[in-house]
Amino acid sequence: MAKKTAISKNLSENIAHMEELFHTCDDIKKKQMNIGKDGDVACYLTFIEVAVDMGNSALLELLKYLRGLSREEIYEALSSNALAISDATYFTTIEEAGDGLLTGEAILFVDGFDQAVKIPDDGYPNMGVNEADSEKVVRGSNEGFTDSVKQNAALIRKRVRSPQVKVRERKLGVRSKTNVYLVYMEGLAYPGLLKEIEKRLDGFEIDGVLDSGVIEQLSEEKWYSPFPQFQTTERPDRAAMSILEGRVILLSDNSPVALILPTDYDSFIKTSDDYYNRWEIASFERILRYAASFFAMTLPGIYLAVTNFHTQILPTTLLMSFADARSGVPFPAVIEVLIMELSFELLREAGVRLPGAMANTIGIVGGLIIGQAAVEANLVSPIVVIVISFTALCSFAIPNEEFATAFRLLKFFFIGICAWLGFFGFLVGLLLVLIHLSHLKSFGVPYLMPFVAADLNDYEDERDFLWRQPLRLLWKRPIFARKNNRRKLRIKR
Amino acid sequence: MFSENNKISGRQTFRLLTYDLLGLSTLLVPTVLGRTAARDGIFAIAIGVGAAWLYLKVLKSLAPGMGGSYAQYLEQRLGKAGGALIQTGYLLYFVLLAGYTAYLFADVVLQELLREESFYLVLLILLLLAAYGLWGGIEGRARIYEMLFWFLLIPLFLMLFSAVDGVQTDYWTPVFSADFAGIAEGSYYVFLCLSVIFLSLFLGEYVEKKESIFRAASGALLLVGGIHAVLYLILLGSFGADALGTMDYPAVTLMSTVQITGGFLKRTDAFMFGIWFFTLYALLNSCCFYGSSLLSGILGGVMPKTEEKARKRWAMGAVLVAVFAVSCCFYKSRACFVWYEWFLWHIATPFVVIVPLILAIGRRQKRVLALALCLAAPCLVCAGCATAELEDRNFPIELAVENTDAIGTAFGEAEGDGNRVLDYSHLKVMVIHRDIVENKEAMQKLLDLLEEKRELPRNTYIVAADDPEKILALSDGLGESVGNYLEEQFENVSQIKKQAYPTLGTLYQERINQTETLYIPYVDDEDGKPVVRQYYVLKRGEPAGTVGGDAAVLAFFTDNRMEEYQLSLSDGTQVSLSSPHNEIAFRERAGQREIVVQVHCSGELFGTQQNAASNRRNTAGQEQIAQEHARIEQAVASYMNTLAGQTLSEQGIDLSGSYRRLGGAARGWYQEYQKKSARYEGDMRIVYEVDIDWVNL
Repeated sequence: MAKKTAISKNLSENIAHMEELFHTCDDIKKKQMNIGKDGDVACYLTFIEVAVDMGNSALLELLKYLRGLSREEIYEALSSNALAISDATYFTTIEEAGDGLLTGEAILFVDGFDQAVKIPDDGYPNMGVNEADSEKVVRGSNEGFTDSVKQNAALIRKRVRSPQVKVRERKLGVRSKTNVYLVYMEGLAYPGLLKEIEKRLDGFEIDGVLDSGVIEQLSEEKWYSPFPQFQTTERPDRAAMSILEGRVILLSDNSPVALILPTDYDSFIKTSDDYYNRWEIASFERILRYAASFFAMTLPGIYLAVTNFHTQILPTTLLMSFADARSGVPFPAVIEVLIMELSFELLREAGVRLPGAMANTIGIVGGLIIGQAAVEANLVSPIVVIVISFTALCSFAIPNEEFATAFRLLKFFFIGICAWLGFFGFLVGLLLVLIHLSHLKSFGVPYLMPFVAADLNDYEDERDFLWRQPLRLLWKRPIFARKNNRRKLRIKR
Repeated sequence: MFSENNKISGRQTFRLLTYDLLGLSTLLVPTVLGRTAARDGIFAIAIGVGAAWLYLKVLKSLAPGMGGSYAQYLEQRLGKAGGALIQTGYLLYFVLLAGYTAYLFADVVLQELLREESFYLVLLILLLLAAYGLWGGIEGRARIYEMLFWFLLIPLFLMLFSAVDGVQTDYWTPVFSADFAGIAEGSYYVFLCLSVIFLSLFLGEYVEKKESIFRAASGALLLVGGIHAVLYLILLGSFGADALGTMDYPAVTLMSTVQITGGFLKRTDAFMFGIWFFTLYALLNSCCFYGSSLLSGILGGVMPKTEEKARKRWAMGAVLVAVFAVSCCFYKSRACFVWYEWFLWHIATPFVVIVPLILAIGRRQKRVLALALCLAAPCLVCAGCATAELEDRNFPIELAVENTDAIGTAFGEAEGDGNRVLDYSHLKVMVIHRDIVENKEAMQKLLDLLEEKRELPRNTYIVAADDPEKILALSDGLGESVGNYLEEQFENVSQIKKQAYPTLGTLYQERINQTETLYIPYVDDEDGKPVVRQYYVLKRGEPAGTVGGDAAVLAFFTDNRMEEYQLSLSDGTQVSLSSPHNEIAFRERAGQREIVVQVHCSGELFGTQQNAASNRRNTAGQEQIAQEHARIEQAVASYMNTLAGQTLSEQGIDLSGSYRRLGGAARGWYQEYQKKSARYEGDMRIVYEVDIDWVNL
């Protein structure tokens, strides 16, 4: 059992303990003040800033009440619970007080009184927290990050109630002075990683940081790569999960998108509910997503390579129906594919920019009317519509939007090279992408982990990539966590 | 923090070396073994792998003294000048091998994927890819192969497994038939390909745990050796030794004939080509990588003031240009090829073997050296753009060949006729005029012409007809093309397994192997439908006349190529035989040589006999049932003996196809009939011994 520190009558000692416990937690407010009718009783109030409303709360009433009492009356009121607060809680140790604070309430220490009092308030913000727009899950929390960095930090703390969750505050943007929080778990995150992140953040000066995307682009090592080297999330549970893996969360004020670093290919494919669902279905869905990421990039290219160069691959009946479908289409297959792909991208762009209800209309207009009309007018063949639709479905199945974008762009590269060089072009393209991915790293972590370099974590990460092993076997934290602190699960039966 | 730059793990080393060893060797070794060691190729593989393994032991003995890179070690042991000289030798080896690999790589791409593209363009693309791969250093290279490893090996194993179905084990025999020089030559070639394992010396400076290098190298060597053994047995069993020895890239050809059971794709050769694409790229990349790092080291002595990074870039550029030039030489001049082969056999491979050996002697590793020399020395000493759109193509499903003289121009005329490009990739059936099949020279000429036209699929069925054009014209009445109709008949409707029907590939092989008796379906028009009532027999490449359907079906049954064989006996009994696992043996009785076909199968009576049999089974005693078994088996044997005997004596056609089994079952006769194969059928008598496992009797 961990050693506990009793709360002393000496306020300075209590303050020292609390400061030690919550050092570098800039989101936790610690205020020293004097109360009593003569103002001679020192007290220490600590709370999570957003969780407590100092302007209009029971806490304010209480402080007003205590300000009218003498020292002895204050002790009497505190010890007899004459505070007129129904669920005030008393803690006798610093650790209990710390836990109380992390529940989102204010904690009051009074000089000469050897207990801390938890005074209930608004608690963690939850009103105004909306559902995440992307990264939808079937099972699990639907809360999404907000535009407030403090609320976002609180949403993480709500999930990981440990004093070891540290928050480092920085200001970025010469003129915007945007608040940026680095949230991490002390003992799990590599100190070197934090230093590297801070070095990268210090590596640029910009007028304003209005979204985390700006930080992402300016801090990436390989800025020319279509693949994001920072993971993004709008889900606090995903961020909390990452913190428990030893990763660092970068929260930027005014942005509902948190950056997770370091990251790898596999992390982009995983979703939160991979761990909430049973392992069989989680594995199946993950394999599906891996396949989707492959086909989102290559399917139109493969179609062109097979129909223009390697017709021997397809069964004759299928090939004949492809040929029949194409008869009368005035464009070469590659132009036909490009027309459809660009139309799809256009519809997608229009759908994103339009308000919700109209976006649905665009979907109907695009999918049903334009698609059908194009086929009937012999501008495109039905088979190409099927190929493009399937490719689109695959790109939607990739959980992370930024990551999916990389495949959407590379798809055009594959269309070009496969139309030019057939299956040889496909292989060249695939090798190019592989070489590129093998050169990529995110803060020293190979991008293709754990397909490669799994030895760095004794091959344990291979338990949780293409297929997710049962949760009880995933006892070790992934590569991101400090090497001497990677055990995360102990089955006691 | 997480991965130390420029260091790779043991697993990455293993996978990298596996890829380095696999590509070139699987393309070249089978053909060379088919030519040299033939049916004993498997022993040549074993000896070659064994020699390479001993060679690896020698390499391992150098490891303790190697602190930094192999280049530094060479300078430390042989002095600055000696070290530089040996490094230059290695550099030359790498550049030539990379050039050779790049040439083969581009050649395979052009042959298998892009027939009409420019060699230089393909080569340039490959070298640019290699340059990009080199940019990421050893770690980047290792990661690619670590990731791809199972994604490529699993499909390869799957394809090899699927290919087992088409293997004829008779082609494996007779073993120990090659001469010593042939086996030695084959072994040396295997060793030559596997001696690339010396790359493990160059990996020393890049591997995180040095002790893991040679463990990884041993693993890679054994895995590649195993793949070679399995692949060779499959190729030998599929094509026969003689045909194998004449093929360019038999492993790639095999992929074009294998179909995964239940698979959706008709052919997977284009996809399977990915295996050679990545493995050849691995070797090309490795050679360029080590070549440029050696050159960079050598340049360090010449240009000490140049920054290391810039020097490496210069070296890389120079090596890639040299590789491009060497590949172009191979492409332009056959003499370069011959010279390189000589160089590889006599200079390059001895060089990469001898240098570590000399170094090992210096380290007094005499026991290892002696052992290595004892086993490896014999090997050394004895060795002597986008095409037409889909809708702009015609896909001929069937082809009629009326006249051999016209065939050459017929393709050209057909392609010039109309405004569509002819794509033969879906050709199902080729109907050949009877006159061609009956004329050996005409048939040879036809096959020569067809083989030149590489786009014709090897799995196209061959049938004969009196009037091929008339057979093709039946499509109108059938409602589908004759090609599709016949393919459906051969593959799904008929009780005869599809392997029994000759294809273009079978004819190509048989033209060289000359061991099989092939039955070409003889198609005739019956009520507007193409039917097969007779088969034209090609006996070891020689035309041998026609046989009736009953004789051909017996031949297929004897060869275990029938699902179900129905026959009506002389007493009216109708028998259905299934699941045959017949065997063929040879014996001599009273001076008469006999082919003994031991028939083992399941049997049942059918038709009106079925109910009677069922009643008998209920009422008769065991002894009566046994007598009935014996009676029918005797009648079946009598039927088969009569039919096979008549065909053998009157037409000289052995329905058991026993000639190809001679090597495995009767070695002495095999050697005898190698010289006078024409007399084989005349000397033989065929005897069927029938043992049926009755189902309803």
